[in-house]
Amino acid sequence: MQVIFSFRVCNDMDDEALIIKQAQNGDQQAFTVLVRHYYRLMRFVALPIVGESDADEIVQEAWLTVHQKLPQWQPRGSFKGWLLTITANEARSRYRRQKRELLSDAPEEAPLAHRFKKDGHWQQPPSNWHIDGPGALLDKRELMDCLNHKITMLPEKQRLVFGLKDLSQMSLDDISGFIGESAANVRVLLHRARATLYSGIEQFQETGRC
Amino acid sequence: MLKCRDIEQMAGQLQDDELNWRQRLSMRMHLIMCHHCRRFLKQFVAIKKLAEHSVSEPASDDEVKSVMDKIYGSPKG
Repeated sequence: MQVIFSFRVCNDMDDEALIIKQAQNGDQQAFTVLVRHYYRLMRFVALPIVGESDADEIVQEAWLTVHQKLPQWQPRGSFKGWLLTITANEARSRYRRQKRELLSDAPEEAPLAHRFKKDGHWQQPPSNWHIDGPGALLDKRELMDCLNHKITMLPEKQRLVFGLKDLSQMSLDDISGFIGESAANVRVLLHRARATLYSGIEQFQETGRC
Repeated sequence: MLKCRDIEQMAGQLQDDELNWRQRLSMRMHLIMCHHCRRFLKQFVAIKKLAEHSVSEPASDDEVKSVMDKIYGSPKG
């Protein structure tokens, strides 16, 4: 069967439910819209688990699974959450097969520790990002690029924990079992990742430099 | 009485809904009086949404094609 790829048909995900329904009914163009929309997010989840060399292959495997299971998918939960769970599962299987060793993150001071006085109050209070909500910042392309850069620069375990918790909504207990760290350590890694990203955004907001 | 440093440390647990009512109440008492921590907390919890958005760039044609090839096989000719 000749398959004709038409990649730039529609990137409009405003009506995601309709696009998913069309994809479930075998509409290949609708399926490509979903692939284009979610590929990078899935890759981000896979990357710290399996490494740069295997991340794309994991995403491709995940989409193969999605394609097979899509007709049975019911819109009871989040479609994105379903995709990321499949991606994380594929990556975890590969990780177990390879028994890849995670690098140990070098001990470091808590990212925001220097911002406080000895008495526990702010020494360097947070600057105002001028947001009414995160949506106010989402259109700033350079900020998004900077944040993406900061995420990729996180120490490996922090990036893994941040990706699994905040992007694929895995529980702390599951993450703990997965990376072989105590739940308390996972919590520390997660907080350091978030605090580092906070500092990165704040620096960008103040200086315009990433 | 919680200090600002405590609020920074607990921000993630608040975000993940892991604080008990007593901790939430202590936090609320501090936040009533401290505008720095109110600002910090508001901006801290925005990180997740921003991060999610920052890695949600559309895939390239090559990336989409790699998936479609995986599913349907490479078109011949």
